[in-house]
Amino acid sequence: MQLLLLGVSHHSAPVSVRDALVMDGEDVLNLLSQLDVGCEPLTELVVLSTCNRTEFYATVTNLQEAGQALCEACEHHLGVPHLGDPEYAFIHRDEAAVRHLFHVAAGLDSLMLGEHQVLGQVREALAMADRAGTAGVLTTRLFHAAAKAGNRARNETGISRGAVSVALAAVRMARKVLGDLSKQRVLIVGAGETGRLVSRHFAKEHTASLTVINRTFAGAQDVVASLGGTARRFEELETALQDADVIVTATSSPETIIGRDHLERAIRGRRGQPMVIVDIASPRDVEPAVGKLTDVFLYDLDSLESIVAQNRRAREKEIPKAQKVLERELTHFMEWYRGLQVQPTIRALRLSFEEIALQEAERHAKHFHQSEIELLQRYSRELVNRLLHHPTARIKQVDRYTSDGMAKLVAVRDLFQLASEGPAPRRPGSKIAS
Amino acid sequence: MWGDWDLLPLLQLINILLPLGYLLAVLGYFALYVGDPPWGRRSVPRWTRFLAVVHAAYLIMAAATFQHVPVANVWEAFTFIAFAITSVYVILEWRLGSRATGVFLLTPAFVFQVLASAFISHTREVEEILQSSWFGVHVTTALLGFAALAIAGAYGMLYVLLYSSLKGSKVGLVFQRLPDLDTLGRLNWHALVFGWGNLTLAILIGVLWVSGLESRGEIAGNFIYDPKFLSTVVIWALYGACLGGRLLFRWSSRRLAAISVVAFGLMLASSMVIGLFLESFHRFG
Repeated sequence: MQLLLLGVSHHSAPVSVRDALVMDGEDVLNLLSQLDVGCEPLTELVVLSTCNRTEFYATVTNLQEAGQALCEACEHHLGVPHLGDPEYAFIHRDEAAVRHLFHVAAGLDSLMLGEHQVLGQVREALAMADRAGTAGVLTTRLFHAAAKAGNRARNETGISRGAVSVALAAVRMARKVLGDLSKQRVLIVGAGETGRLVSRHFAKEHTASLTVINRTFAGAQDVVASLGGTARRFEELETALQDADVIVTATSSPETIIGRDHLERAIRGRRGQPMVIVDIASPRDVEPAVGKLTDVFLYDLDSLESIVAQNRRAREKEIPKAQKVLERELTHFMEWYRGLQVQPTIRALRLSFEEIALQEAERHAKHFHQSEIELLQRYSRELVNRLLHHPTARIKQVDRYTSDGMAKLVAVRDLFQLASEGPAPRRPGSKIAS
Repeated sequence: MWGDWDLLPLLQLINILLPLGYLLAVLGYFALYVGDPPWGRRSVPRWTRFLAVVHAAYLIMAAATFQHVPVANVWEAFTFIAFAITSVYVILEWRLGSRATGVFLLTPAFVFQVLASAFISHTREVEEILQSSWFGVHVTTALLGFAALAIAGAYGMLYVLLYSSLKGSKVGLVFQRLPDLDTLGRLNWHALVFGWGNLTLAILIGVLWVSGLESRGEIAGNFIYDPKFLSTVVIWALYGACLGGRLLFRWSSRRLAAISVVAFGLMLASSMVIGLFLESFHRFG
């Protein structure tokens, strides 16, 4: 059995092709339920579909036939032939496929380096396959290992540190000044695309209140309808300024809408409580002189973009470190994967038993005369042979090219806690201490 | 055995090990500040808590062995200051969960401990007055208070640094690694409250104790005119005004931070001036 990865991503295919292959949870479940997974050539299958990639992770008995089956399924269910097109699709096998998934989970393959969302999508992909009954021993372990690798890369390196989008940078700056945003009142001015995006990010922080103001009141109502919060009319802006700890402006107004005098009035009652203003409009919505006010922290598009650029560079510097972490996890996984074969399992099992027998013989050697020790060794060896005779014969009958066979090998390894290569063999002439 | 010389070898061993323990803590917190490695997130704070416990045990054993609180000379006071800084920091870290400032606070503690370990000489031959339990409580609360106010000064400094970095949209190491401005403000506030509370106790106990001694004729002169006492009262009043301003008039964290830096500077300057140029009955060794 081999591990096959067949997919398209933003590295290999234009957006039109990717869009055609994007599947939501229901699409994935439909596709998985209609494919004949479990029989040759496809024994296990997990589909990872995000806005930038659609990837099929499968265990297969025949690469050619399995690839063909997947391409046909995509064409049949989604009506797109691109998965079979070598111009857009990529194929990886075994170690390369595992490495790719680990990189994906860590966000190293993402458009936005180190982004967090993909880790959840990796977990979700496995959950879908589980529901459809197409995940097996190998793919389950693979996706768990990928999630762990992704987590480690994020925790142990700076690959996800700092905001790399303007909207997120706005949230981070507010958090850096005010700390816990759940106690802060947020005012969003402008209900356009950027205003909505920023509102979504602040809503995720469960702020004490979220107010949206827009020239068109219906626009503001539309934003708060999905996110919760309060919509206010544009005429109420000055009053709303007094009730906010964080103000984000994202209007398309040709001139500034918040002046220094507005803010001076707004902060009068705050008694030095810091206020964060994020102006992500172009041209600006807030007079630059506002930034000179004490305890008012003003960030405009330029400053946020510069922060984002610095963070991006910092993340890029962390790539080699993250790759090292992933390689360690990859080695670990591949040891397990390679161990899922009949002969290595039998060898590991025998070595493990022989080691135990030898240790016990050593432990009791002091009770025996020197001439009896060789007899003791022979006895322990023969006992191991007798004990393992039947299990060995049964393991030899296991077909590792089936999911069931693989599950049996995994069970043997787990039951006897066999390392991938088993304990280090003793030198043939090693003596028992007397 | 308590009160006997049997603990001396153990005290000597701990005296050698303490600077090494502090060095490890400083290096650990430095690593947390620069790279925040996962191995250090739990182990470094745990190590520091363990260090504080060992240091406390050392001081208790020294007090039992030499029958006075070990602040009878400058070097004994130094090790006590190192302990006071560390224990106040440990409490603040435990209360507010911020690990990123440890390197700034434990570095001075390390320096104090290195000097103390190098030059310390415990002796039983101290003035009778220094063997009083009143003296022990007075000095312990005073040093804990001063250590906490010094920590408030350090947090005030960090607050000002981060404030200006945030105002200027600079996202260097200060921005990346320090906790948020609000947390720094709360750390500063907690340190001020703890420090002022201890200083208040120290002054009260000191005044009651010395008044008693004076009335019994055990010491001569009027402590009211002692320059160290006067300067401490002025500093205490300054910090008290600062706390009052916050509680009564909702002074901002920025103002509190600035005042704690200035007040700490005044505290240092007054100690130096008094130590170098004026006579005081507050003296060690």
